Amino acid sequence: MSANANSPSTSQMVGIYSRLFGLLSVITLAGIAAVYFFHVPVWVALAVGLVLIAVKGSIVVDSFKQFMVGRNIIVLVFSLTGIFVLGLLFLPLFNHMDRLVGTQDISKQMQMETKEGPSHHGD
Amino acid sequence: MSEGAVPYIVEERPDTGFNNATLGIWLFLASEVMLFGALFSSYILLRVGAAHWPLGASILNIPLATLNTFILVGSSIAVVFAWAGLKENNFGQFKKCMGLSMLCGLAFLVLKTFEYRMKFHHGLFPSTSTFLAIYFTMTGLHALHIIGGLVVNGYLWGPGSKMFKEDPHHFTHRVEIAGIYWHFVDLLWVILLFPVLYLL
Repeated sequence: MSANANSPSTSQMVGIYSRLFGLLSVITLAGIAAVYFFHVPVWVALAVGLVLIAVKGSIVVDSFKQFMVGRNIIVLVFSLTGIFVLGLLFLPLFNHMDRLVGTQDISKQMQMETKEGPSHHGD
Repeated sequence: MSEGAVPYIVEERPDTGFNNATLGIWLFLASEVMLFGALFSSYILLRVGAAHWPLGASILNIPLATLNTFILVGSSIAVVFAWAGLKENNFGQFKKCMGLSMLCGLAFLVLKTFEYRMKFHHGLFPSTSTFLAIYFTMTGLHALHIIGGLVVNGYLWGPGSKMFKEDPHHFTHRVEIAGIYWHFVDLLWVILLFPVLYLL
């Protein structure tokens, strides 16, 4: 849905969008079928789910790339956006792997303290 | 001020390859990607930090959400055909397809309301668990985006469509911009919200 001289014609655009939404529908159905028919461990389900999300995302990027020919500014904007989003996604993982003393395993420490009884402050 | 005072309303700027509205909508969508990216990041943080995390399928209604997914996909395809109708000077096709797209959007909201009501009926509120809190936040924000898109599409379908007689190129461009936003909202559901909240 664009009017640049380099852009595809109306019928080509309709074809691109129809193919995009058709592919997304098929992948979505595959994901739902996987949930219902294959009872795999949670980590496998998460990995497969994330792969499906990545595949869907790359299909969308590939489709919209055809509308962006000769429009480098928006490619730059979305590249920067992608970098920031990836940063946002990995921040929780970096935090999760943080091994600074006192920032991890607080729940385990609390469980241990509960088992051992209350600590005697002031002894 | 005459309309000609603002350049590049419909024609494209030679340096960016976009006119004002197209560049504006893509920048707006980039900010939306950041907004939902931050929420997705919060979801990951909450999920990896939780001792127990329920599977979406065990709490949420997958058949209803699947139906909603295909309603949104149909809605997006209808918007494409509405725009194609305007490009081919077929105003009737625009009216039919845009109307169908809006009906699909309304159906999505009705089913979502039904789903929320079922959750509330079973005592499942945002305060019940972290999973439900992030579920209601993300789907509620998405529903607000759908409502926003419906308001714009409704205006273009109704009173705004008079512009087609005076300036068809400008009106077609407006529909194109609204369509890009609508695709974004639909893709957000199909790619991110539905798989992450319901299937994972």
